[in-house]
Amino acid sequence: MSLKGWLRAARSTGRLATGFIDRQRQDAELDEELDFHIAQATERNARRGMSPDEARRAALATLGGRTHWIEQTRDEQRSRPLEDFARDVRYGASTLRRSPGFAVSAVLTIALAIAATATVFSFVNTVYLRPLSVPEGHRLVRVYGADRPELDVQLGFPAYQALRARARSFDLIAAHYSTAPLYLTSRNEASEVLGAVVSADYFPMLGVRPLLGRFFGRDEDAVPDRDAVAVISYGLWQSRFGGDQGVIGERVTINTREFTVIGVAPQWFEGVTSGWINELWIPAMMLHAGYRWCDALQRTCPITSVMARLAPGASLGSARAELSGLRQTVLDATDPADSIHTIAVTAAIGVPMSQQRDYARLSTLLAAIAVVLMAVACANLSGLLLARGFARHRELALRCSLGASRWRLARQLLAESGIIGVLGSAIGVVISFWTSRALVDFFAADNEGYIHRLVVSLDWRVTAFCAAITIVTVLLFGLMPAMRVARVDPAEALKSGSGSPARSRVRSVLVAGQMMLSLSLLVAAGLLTRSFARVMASGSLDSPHLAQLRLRPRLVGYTPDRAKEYLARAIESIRRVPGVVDAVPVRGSIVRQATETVPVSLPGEPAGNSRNRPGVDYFDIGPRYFATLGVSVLAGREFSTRDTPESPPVAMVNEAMAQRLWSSINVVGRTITLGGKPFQIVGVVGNYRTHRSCESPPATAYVAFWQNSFEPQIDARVAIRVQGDPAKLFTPIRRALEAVDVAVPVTEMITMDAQRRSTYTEVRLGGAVLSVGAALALFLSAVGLYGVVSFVVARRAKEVGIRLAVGARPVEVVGLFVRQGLRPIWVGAALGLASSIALAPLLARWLFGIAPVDVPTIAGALVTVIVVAVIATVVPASRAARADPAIVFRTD
Amino acid sequence: MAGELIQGTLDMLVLKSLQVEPMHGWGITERIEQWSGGVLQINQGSLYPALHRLTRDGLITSSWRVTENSRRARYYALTAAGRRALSNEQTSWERLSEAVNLIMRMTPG
Repeated sequence: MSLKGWLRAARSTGRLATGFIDRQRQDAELDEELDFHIAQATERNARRGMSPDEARRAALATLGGRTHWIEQTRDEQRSRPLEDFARDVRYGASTLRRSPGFAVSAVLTIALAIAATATVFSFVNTVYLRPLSVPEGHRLVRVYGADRPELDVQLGFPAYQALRARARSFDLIAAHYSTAPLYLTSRNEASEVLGAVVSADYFPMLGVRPLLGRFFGRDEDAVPDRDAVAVISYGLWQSRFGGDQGVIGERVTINTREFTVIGVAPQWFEGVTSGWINELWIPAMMLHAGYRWCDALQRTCPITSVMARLAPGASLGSARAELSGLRQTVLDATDPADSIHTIAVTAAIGVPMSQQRDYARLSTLLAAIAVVLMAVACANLSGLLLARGFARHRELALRCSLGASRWRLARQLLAESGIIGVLGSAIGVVISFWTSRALVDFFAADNEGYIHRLVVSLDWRVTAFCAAITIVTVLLFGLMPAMRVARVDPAEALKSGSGSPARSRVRSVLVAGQMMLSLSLLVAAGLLTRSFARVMASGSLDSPHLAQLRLRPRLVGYTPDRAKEYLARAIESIRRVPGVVDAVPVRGSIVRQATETVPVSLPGEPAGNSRNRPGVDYFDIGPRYFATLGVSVLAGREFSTRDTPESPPVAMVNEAMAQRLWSSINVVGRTITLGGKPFQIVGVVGNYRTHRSCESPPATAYVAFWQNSFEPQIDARVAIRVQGDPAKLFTPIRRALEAVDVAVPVTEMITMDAQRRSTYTEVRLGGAVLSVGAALALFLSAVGLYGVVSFVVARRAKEVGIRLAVGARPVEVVGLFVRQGLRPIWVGAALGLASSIALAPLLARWLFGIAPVDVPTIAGALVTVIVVAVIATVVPASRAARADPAIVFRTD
Repeated sequence: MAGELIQGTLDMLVLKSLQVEPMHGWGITERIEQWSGGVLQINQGSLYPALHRLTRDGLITSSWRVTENSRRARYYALTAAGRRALSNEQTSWERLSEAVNLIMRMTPG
C-alpha cells in the first residue's frame, strides 16, 4: 500500500472511532438544526395566516417524520462500517431469535464439531506444540543424537560437559535424567517417587526460583558422590512433610543413601518431561545413587539428556550451525556403542521426542475422527442453511423488490452465520475444556501403576486454532446462502413460492454423505470396542480379584541370599493379610509379554535342528501360580514348595509350545532342554491371552521361581489373589511389608484390571472416542435426514392433500415419503460399507481376536444406522398423512 | 409531476443556492422556492440528507452562526471543490436540458 493509502486508511480508522465519540454531539446538533428549521417554517406558515397550531403541524408534516429524517441524515453523515456491522449483528440476532429451532440446531452442530476439534487439538498441542510452562519456555532447546528415527538418543554426561565448555549459543545448559525411580524413606515412611538427577544449572536455566531454601550450587556440580543434597516438590513437601518449614536441613534416605533436604520447588513446577511429574531432585554428581545399572558419569553409560536455553541473540539456526562445528568434540564424548553421527537441536516443545512418536498413531486416529465429525457437522449445517434459505426465499425476494441492496442482504445473512459460528464455537471450546481432560485421563496411569499427568490447557494456540476453524466454517456456510441472495430474482421467487427440486437433491446427497461417514465411524467404533472387550475377557485370568506389586531389593543392594530370605518373608506376610487368598512370586510381568526368551531343544536331537528354532518366552513362577491367576492346568501339576534348588529341575509348558514341539499335549514326564539345561516337564497349562499380540499366544515355558534355574532371583513381582476388591487391600499389604523391612522398595502396586486396561489404553481410548464420535455423527445425520423429509413433505403438501382427498390411505402416503426419504440412506450405507471395509486394515494394529472385516460388527452398525434412519424418516412423513386436505389447500 | 425534482438535481440546486452566500437549511429551501417562482418545493426530508452528503463529499462546509434574528443556525458554504462541481454540473445540465428540449419540440410528421 502506498503512503497515501496508509494515510487514508489511518484517517478513516480515526473517523470510525470519533464517529462513535461524536455521536451524541452530532445528534444534538441535528436536533437543533431540525428545531430551527421547524421554527422557521412555522413562522412562515403563520405569516401566511395559519393559526399557530396549524402552522406548526404543517411545518412538521413537510418533514415527514422526525425519526425518519434523523435516521436518513445520520446515514449520510457518518462513517459507518462499524455501525452497520453492529446493526447487522442486531438484525441477525433478532432473526435468529425468531427461529429458535434453526438457531439451536445450528449452534449445537457447530459446538459439537468445534468441541471435537478443540479436544483433539488440545491433545496435539500438549504432545507436539506447547513449550514448557516456565518463563521464556520457547527459548529452551533439547540437544540429542538423531541417528535413529524412532528414538532420541541421550548424549550422556561427558557430552554435556563438552557442550558446556565449548558451546556459545547457549545461556545455560543442563544435564538431566528425569525418569529416575528414587526410593525415598523419610519420617518412617517409604515409597518410590519419580525423581530427577540434574546438573546445577538446571533450575537457573528453567528460570525457577525455590519456594523455600535453595537449589543446587555450582560447587555441588564438581565432585562425584560428595554433596548428598536434595530438592523436593511442593506436592511431596505437603504430602510427606505436612508443609513443615523445618524440612530444610532434614535428613532423608534416597536409594539407601543419606541426603539433606535443601529446598522446596514452587507448586507449579513439575519438571521438564511432560506427563512425568518429578517430585524429587538430586545433583548430577549423585548419579551413582540415582542410577545403579552402570556409571552414568561415564560416556559408556549415557543416561542423561541435555537441555539448554538459547543465549540472547542466538537462534535455533545459529545454535545448529555452531554445533555442527563442535560435532566431533561432542561426539568423542558420547558412547561409541550408540554410534551417533548427527546431533540435533530442537525446540523443547511437547512431550519428549520418543514419546511423540508413541502418540503419533493415536493422534492420527483422533485427528481423523475430528475431521469426519467436522465434515458431518458441515454437511448438516449446509442442509440446515439450505432449508432455511428456502424458507426465507420469499422474505429476501420481497425485501429485494422493496429496494434493499443485495449487498446489504448478503451482509445480514453473513452476520447471522457469524453469530451462529461465534456462539457455537464458544460453547464448543467450553465443552472441550472438560473433554480434553477426559481424554488425557486415559493416560493417567501406565501399566506399571506410575502416574502420568498430561496437562492440557486452553492456551493461545488452541484459541487461535478454534478461531481459525470457526472463521473458515462461517465463511464456507455463511457465504453460500449470502451469495445465493445475489442471484435472487424477486419476481420469480414471489411467483413460484416453492423451492427448486434441485435443492432437495443437494440435501439428499448431503444426507447420503453423512450416513456414509456415520456408518464408517460406527463400524470402527464397534471393532475397537469389541477388540477391547475381547482383550479384557480373554484367557481365563480371574482379573477382578487379582493385583500385583513389585519388590525391589536389588535397588537397595541386597545380595541374592539376603534377597531370598527377604522375599520369602515378604510373600508370607502378604499371604497373612486378611482378605488375601494367595501370593506368588513371578519374574517378569504377569500381563506383559515376557521380556526374555530362551533357546529350546529336545534331548538327543541333532544340534542343527534346534539352531534355527526361535527361542521361547519364559517366566520364573512360584508355587500355585496358575491357581492364583485362575488359569487351568490341562495336564500334570503346578510347581509346589517341594520344587527347590536341591530337587530335580522342573518346567511347565503352555499348550502352544506343546503343540509346536510335540504336536500333542500329552507331554508330562518328557525332558526338554532350555538354555542348555535339562528340565523335566511336570505340567501343561492352557493358552491364556494377556499380552499385546494375542492373535496366537506365543510358545511359553515356565520354570520354578525358587529353583533359580537361570540366575539367582533378587527382585520379584508378586501376583496376589484376594476376596473382593484388590485395591482395598493395598494399604494393609503395604503396612505388612513395611513391618518386614522398611528399607526395601515396594513399587508398581496395581490391580490386574487397571494394568490390563492401561496396557490397552490406545484400544480403549480409540474405542471410546470412536463410539462418542459415531453417536454424534449418527445423531447429526438423523437430524439432517429428518430435515430433508420434513422439507419434502412440506413442499408436496398440496399433492398429499389431493391424494388423501381422492381416497389414498394415509399408510400409502407415509410409505411414499419413507421410500423417498430412505433412498439416500441406501446409497450412504452402501458407500459406508465399502469405505469401512477399505479402511479397516488401518485399524488392524488395535484389533485383538477380531478380524478387520467382522461381519457381526458391520451388521450391527448397519442395523443401527437403518433403524435410526427409518425413525428419522417415519416421524416427519407420518405428519403428512395426518394433514387435513382442506387446510392444506387454503394455505397457499 | 409538477414541483417534483428530477432525480439527482437536488444536489446541483443546493450548490447553486449557496453560490451567492452561505445559508442555513431553511434559507436554502426558501431561496430555491423563490428562484423557481414557487414551482419547486424542496422536500425537507431529502434536503438535510443531501446537505450532509455534500458535506461528507467535501463540496460544502458548515459552521454554526447566529441569524439576523439572533438564533443559532448551521450555515452551509461552498468549498472550492464545490464551486468546481457546480460549474461542471451547470455545463452538463445545460447540455442535457438543451437535448431534452430539442426532442420535446419536435413536431411529429
